[in-house]
Amino acid sequence: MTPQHHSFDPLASEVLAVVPGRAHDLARLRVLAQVQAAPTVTVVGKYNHGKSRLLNELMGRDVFAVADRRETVTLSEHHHAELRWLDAPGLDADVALQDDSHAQEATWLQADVRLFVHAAKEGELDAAERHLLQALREDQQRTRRQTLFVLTQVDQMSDEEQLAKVSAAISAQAPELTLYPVSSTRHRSGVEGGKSLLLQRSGIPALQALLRDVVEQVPGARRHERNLLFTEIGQQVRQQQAALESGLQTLRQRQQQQRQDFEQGLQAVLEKVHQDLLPIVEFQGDDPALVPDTAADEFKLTAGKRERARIHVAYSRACIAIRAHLIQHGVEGLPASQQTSVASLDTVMVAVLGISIKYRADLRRRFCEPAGQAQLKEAFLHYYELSEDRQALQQQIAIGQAELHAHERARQALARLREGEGA
Amino acid sequence: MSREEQRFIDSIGRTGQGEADLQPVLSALRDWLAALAQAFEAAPLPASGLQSASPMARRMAALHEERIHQARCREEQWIALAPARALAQRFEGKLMLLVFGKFNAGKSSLCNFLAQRFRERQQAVQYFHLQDGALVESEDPFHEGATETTARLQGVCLGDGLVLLDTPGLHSSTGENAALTQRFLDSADAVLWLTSSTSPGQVQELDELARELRRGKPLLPVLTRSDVIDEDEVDGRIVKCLRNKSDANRADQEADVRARAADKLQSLGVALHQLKAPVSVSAYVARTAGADAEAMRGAGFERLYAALSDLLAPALAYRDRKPAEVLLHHLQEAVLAPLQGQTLPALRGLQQLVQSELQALPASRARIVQLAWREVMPGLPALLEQHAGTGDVDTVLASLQASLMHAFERHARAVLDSHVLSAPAPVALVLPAGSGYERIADDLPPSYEKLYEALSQSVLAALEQLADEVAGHCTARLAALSDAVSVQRALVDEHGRRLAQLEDTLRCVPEGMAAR
Repeated sequence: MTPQHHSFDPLASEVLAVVPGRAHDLARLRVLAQVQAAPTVTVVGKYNHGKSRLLNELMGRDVFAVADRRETVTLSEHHHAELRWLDAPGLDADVALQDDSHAQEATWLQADVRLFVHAAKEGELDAAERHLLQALREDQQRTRRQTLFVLTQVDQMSDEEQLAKVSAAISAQAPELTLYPVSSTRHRSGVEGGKSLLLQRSGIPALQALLRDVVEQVPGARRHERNLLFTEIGQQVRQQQAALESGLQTLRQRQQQQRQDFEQGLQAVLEKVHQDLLPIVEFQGDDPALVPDTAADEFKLTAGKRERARIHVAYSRACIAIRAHLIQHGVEGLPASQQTSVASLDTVMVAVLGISIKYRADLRRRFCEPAGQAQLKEAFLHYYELSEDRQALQQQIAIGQAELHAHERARQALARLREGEGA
Repeated sequence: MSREEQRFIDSIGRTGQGEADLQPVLSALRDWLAALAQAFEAAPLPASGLQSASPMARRMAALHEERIHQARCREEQWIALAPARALAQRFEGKLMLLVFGKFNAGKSSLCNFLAQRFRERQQAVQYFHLQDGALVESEDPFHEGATETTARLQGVCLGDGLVLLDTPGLHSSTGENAALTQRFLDSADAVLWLTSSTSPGQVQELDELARELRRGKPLLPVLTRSDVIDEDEVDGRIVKCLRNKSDANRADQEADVRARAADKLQSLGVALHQLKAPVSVSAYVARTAGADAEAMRGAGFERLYAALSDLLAPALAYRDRKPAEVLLHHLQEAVLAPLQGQTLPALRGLQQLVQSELQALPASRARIVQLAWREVMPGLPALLEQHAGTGDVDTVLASLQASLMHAFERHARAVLDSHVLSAPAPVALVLPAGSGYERIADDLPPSYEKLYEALSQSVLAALEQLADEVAGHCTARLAALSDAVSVQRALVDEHGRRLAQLEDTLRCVPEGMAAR
C-alpha cells in the first residue's frame, strides 16, 4: 500500500458499505487516484499467442520470458519509456484458478490500454475470445479505455492469400474490429540482421506509432472514466437514499397515526369515565363512606358500607373500561425491565393506578380534575410507547435512520474522494 | 511404407469379437429401473392439508410436474434414438475413434491425411456425414482450411475395422442432432484429443469429454500443426521455409500438455492410466515433403501410429462391453441425472420450507392468541353493561363465545395461510361456580369486577386451547410431509449408489477381457 492510500481506503470503505456492488469501480478509482502514474498497457489473449514476444519487441528489450508453451502464469510488470507494461496470464481458465484473478487485475483494474493478441495461425476467434472482445468493446464505450486488436505471428501464414483469408474471417466475426497484423520474429530478424523489408513487414514500427497516439489520449480518458465512475456511484447512492427516505417516511406516518389513534381513544375513555364518576364524586354533605364501621356492624349493611360499595363499583367499572382500551392497543403487560416476580401485578393498570382507590376525593382528583387526567394520560402514553409493537416499530425506524446516516456519510466520503482527497 | 504404419493397418483388420456374457449385467440394469419406479410409487408425498397457493404446495405440484416431465423425456429420448440405434448398428464390431478438438485443431486435415494413407495401402475408404437424421455416404474428403467450422457430424471408414468420427462441438449441436451426436459418442471406443501446437493443451476443452472419459475410454492427446515457418529476407524478397518443430520443442510441448491434462483428468475424476503419452504431428509437413518414410517419421507419424496401436487393447475392451454401457448411459443420463439434478434439489428446497414452517409454528400460535384476544376483549365491558340490568350471565357467555370463535378462526386462517384449516370445534367458556353479577343493594348498580376477571381467564384459556389444537394439527401434518420427503431423498441416494455399484461391476469386466 502506498502512503496516499491511507486516506483513500477509509473513505472508500464508507462508500462501499452502502454500495457493495461497486467494489470494482472503487478499486479502479483507487488506481485512478494516482494521477501521476504512468499509463498502463496490458497485453491479453490466449497463452502462446505471442504476448510476451510482442511486449519484448515493442519495448525493444527482452524482459518477458518466452517459450513455445504455456509460460505467463503471473502478472509480469515492467516500466519502460514512461509506460507501465503488463503481461496478463493466458485467457484460458485452467486447473489453477488463481491465474484468472491475475488476468482480471491486469485487464480490468490496471489497464489504460489493452492489446488483444490473437495468433494468425489459429484462424477464427473462439467463443472465449469473442466474449472477452465484446466485453472490452463495451468497456471502451463506457470508459474510453481503448483496445487494439493485434494479429500476431503473421509470418506463420504460408502466403499473403492465407493471411487475407484469416483476416477476412475474423473481420466477419467482429466487423467493428480494426486488425493490426504484426510479426515479432520478423521484427527481431529485421533489427538484428539489418533487414529493412522484414522490419517494415513486421508491423511493429506501425504499432508503436499507433500506441504513442493512443497513450497520448490516456490522461483525457482517465479524467472521463474518473468522472463517469464518481457520477454513477453518486447517482446510485442518491437513489438508494431516496428509497430509504420514503420508506422511513411511511414508517413515521404509521407511528404517528397509531399514536394518534391511541391518544384519541384514551381521551374518549377518560372522558366517559369522568362523566360516569361525576355523580359519585359530587356527593354533598357529610360522607358516610368516611364513617368507619364498628364491630357491631359486621353483618349489617351500614350507610358507610353502602357508600363505599358504590364508590368501589364505579371505580372498578372505570378500570375495566380503561383496560379494554389498553388491550385493544396491545398495552397490557409491563416491559420486561419493570416486571416483578408477581405476574398479577405486572400490568400497566397496576403500575399507573395502584391496587385500588378507596376515597371519593382521590377519585375526583385522579379522574375528574384536569391535573389528574393529564397525569393519567401521560402515564398511559408512557407505557404505550414501551409496548412490544411500538418498540418493534421504533426499532425499525432506528435501523432505517442508521442506514440513512450511512448513506449520508458515503455521500460525503464520495465527495471528498472526488475532490481529490486520497490522491 | 513405414513399419509402425504397416503394423497398425494390419492389426485393425484383426480385431475380432469379445466373448464376455453381458446378460447378467444387462438384466441387473433393467431390474434397477423397475425397482426405482416401484419404490417411488410406494412412497408418495402426502398432498392434502396445504393451501394450493402456498409455497410448499406449489413446490409439491412442481415436483409432481417435473416427475411426469422426466418420464416423458425418457420415453421420447428412447424413441428418438431408435433410428440412431439402427444407424449405429452399421458400424457394429468396428473400432471407432472419436476425433475431438476445437474447430482450428486440424481435425479435418489429419482425418483426410490418414484416409489417404489407407487408400494408398488399397484399403477401402468411405466418407459419410449426417444429414436430416440420416447417414449419407460421400466421396468427398472433409473440408479443410483456416476457417473450417464443422457444423455437422461426419466420419470416415478406413478399411474393414476402423471408423474416425468428427463431431461438431459437443455442446453446440442442438435438439435431435444433439441426441444423435450423443449416440455416436456412446459408440466411440477411444478419444483422440487434437490440440493445436500454436496454443496447445487448452484443457478446459476436456470438460465436454468428461462423461466419455469417465466410461474408461482411453485418451490420446495429439498436438497438431507441429510445424513452423522460418523466414529470411533475400534480395528484397521474403523467403519462407516450412519445417517440423524441433524434437526438443515437441518434447517440451508434449510434457506440458501431459502434465496439465493429468491435472484436469484428476479434477474430472478420471483414472490417470487412461491418459496416453501425447504425440506431435504435422500433416502439413508430411504432405508437403511427399509422405515418404523419412517424411512420415519426421512429421511425427511413426510415433502416432505406435500410439494408436497401443490404444487398441483398451479401446477394444470398451467395444466389447458397449451394449451394457449404452443402457447404463441411458439410465444415468435420462433417469438418474434428472433425479439428482432436479428432483433432489427440489426435495431439499421443500424440506427446508417445511422445516422453517415448523420452526415458525410456536410464534404463529402465540400471534393468533394475541390477535384474537385484542379483538375480543375490548368489547367485553359494553357486553357486561348491556346485561347488567338482567344479570343474565348465560347470554353474556353465549355472545362472548360466538365472538371469540369468530375472531379465532379469522386470525388462525390469516396467520396460518399455508394450511387448509377446518372450522375449529367450539370451546365452551367455563366460569367458576357462583360467578355472576354481584348486587350489594337493590338501589346500587351491580358489580362485575370479579365476573370480568373470571371471563378474562376463561377467554384466555379457551384461546390457548383452540390454538394448541390447530398448531398440533399443523405440526403433525408438516412432520409427516417432512418424513415423506426424507424417504424420497433417501430413495434417490440409494438408487444412485446402486447404479454406481452396477457401473463398477461393468467396468471390472474389461480387465479380464483385456487379458484374453
